[in-house]
Amino acid sequence: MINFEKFTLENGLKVIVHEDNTTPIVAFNILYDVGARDEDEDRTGFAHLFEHLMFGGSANIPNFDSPLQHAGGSSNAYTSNDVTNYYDTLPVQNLETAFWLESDRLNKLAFTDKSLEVQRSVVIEEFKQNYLNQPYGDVWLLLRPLAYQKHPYKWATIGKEIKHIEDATMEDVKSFFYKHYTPQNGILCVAGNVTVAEVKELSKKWFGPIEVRDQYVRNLPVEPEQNELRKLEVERDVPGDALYLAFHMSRRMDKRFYLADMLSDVLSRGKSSRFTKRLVLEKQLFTELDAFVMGSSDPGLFVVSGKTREGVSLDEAYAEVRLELETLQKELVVEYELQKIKNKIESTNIFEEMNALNKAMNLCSFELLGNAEMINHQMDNYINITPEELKEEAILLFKEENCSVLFYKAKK
Amino acid sequence: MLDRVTAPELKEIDKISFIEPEVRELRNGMKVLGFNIGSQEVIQLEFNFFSGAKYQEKSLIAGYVSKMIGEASSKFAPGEIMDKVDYYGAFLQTGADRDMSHVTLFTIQKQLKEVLPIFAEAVLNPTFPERELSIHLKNGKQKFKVENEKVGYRCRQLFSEIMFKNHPYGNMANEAAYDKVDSSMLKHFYKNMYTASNGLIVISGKFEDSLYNELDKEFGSLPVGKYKRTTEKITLSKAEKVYEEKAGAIQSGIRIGKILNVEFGSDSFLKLQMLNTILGGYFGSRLMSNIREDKGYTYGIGSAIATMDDALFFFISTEVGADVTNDAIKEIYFELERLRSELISTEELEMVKNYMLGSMLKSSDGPFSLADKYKTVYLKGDDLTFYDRYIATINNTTSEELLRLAKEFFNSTEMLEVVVGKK
Repeated sequence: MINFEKFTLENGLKVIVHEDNTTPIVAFNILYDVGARDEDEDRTGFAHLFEHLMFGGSANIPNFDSPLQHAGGSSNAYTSNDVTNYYDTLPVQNLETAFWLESDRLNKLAFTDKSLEVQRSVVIEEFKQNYLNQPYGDVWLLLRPLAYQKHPYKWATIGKEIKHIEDATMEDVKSFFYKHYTPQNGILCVAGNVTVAEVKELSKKWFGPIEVRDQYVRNLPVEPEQNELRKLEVERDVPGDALYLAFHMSRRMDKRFYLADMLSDVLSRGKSSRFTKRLVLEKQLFTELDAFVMGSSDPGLFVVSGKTREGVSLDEAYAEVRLELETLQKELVVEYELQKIKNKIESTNIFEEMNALNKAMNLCSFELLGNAEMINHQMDNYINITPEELKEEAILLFKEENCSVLFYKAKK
Repeated sequence: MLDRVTAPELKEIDKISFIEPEVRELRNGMKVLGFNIGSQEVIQLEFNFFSGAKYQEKSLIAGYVSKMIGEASSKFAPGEIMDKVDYYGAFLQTGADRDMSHVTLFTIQKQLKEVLPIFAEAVLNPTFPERELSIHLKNGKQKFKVENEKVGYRCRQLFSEIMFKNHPYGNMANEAAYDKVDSSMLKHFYKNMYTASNGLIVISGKFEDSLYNELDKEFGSLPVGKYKRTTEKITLSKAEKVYEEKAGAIQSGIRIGKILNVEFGSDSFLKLQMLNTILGGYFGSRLMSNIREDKGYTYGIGSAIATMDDALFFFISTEVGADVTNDAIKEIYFELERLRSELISTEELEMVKNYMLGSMLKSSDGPFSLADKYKTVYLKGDDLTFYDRYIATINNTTSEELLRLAKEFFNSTEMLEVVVGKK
């Protein structure tokens, strides 16, 4: 059970406080409701590039990290298709430094040309390092636009192509900032040995004076239902073939999310899962095979990803994966297997509660999805799931016409 | 009007608490360090053995012994152990580095009773079945081929191969090595190395005192065996420049470093940690500030000091755009030279001190981390006074001392430089 309190400043910034007196470190996490899905299609990768620029100095503080390091702290951030999340950890007695720094960059960024030029290069190198200069790195650049035709989930957070990052201008940066970085778009969580009163006072002092900005109204195209199997085959200079399947699934807040999540667990959570046991060890078709869900704000993807053993054709590999999925559509998961997964989810939840920063991040994410209180009720969503419900979900989810398949072949 | 220009006043970190373990012994003499701390109902039970890759007669043995633990045992057919471990919501983690191996169980407290006997069976009676081994080897070979395509990975391998030539640390597995491992080699290695005298148990988290008796009951039958640990310090570094071209690479992996001829925990060692932090040990480091935050040559660059039983070595590593490979290397040497020629400003030194104390505070947070902090120094024959000395060093070291140290240890001409990619 994670206890917390919530309040909202007059300018709309939501603040969550979690008192944890077992740690000398305080976690300061601030999430902004902006991600790659809010980008223009011809200017992708921008939310992420912007995240880099947030470290390039603000109106009153030339460098974000130096003062934080002086306070014994460190920081980082990540961008997803849905959100941009910034976090700082520091000794609790220096908590105010985080308030000072984070509020100044929400108040006004420095917008220096130097920062834009440098971070543009850094992000391009990131693009190369993670997506281009390693085997299978471009999978998501291929799979997303195959699975999504309308919704902006069709591009990856890093962007569609390097050119979009090269073309970003200072004007783009400024308008993005004022459009998305507003107090009412932010959720702050402070977790550590603090009191609610103390955090309230600091929040009012540092974030209170920031003006309300125009409310951005998100109006994204809806992905139409997929009615036929999509297939893409590519050839790359990689050591072996790989297979990817992507099925459209529900959004994170839908009840169906938990069913899909559990199906992915049946298939590939732990070494005793079906995929590992049957397709990796028994039939020896894959060297590794995973299934996972994307818990995204808008309808997401259920993904199967595997590398085939040498000599196994992708057609055969695909057929065998289909067979496993069809088994889930035809046969009930047995009670033992279901209980195993429930136990694993329960213990994972407990391990996740060991760290103040983890808790702060999760509280912010749940608040964005609807209500931070959900953090204490995750298990309830899984505990009563029945084998019949899983079977029904498998029938809907694993329809072949709901699937995009990528055959990623090694050049001979 | 709120003053947004002046930074809030900072308060120093006055105290970092470390914890002494309770020390017990099983009936076979195996040592147990117990850290009964923390507020969550979780337990980490870690078996460490001095059975890293340096003790293997052939490549991959140490790694595959640890990998195959939990696969099958005298009592359990292949897959049964993992099925039960998963059923109780526990996690089994194994691994081997160059000096040591570990087999670790993570579990929530209420399942400990159920999962402990299964874990014991996995650790005590592994059977290394030939069929499963051959599958894991084939899959491992495939993964190796993928990794070997990455410039960063290849660069790391090559660096070790050259730096530790004629020492087990330098024996890097190649593709063919995966075809030469069999079950009998693993059994032999396991029997010799996974023994009470050659290992150490560390438990941390929240547990009942009766756990010590349970451990004795379950693991007291592990054979006594012999203490196998050896240490023979490598003091000579190699200074070469090696370039391996990779067709089509759009980034190059760079690794530059040398052996540091110092003792773990010595005054020079502690000060070198500071020097390393300044150079490449944190986001605000000189390498990051120059090569990423000023030039934009890379997504990340860092340096570290590796402390192995037979060698302490320092290295810088990064991946940079192929077109700026030479420029990046030039800047790396520029920063090394700058450490040797200029005094570090009071401001920068102050920042590094505060950052290092803060990060030490952070890394000593929670039961698992505290246990790990203790284990790190304990295994080097040191004790918790290490951290007192470390904190004192951070607080008292002067720029003059660091300059002297940089002159002694960070000579560019003494570095091994390995580049994989395209220049």
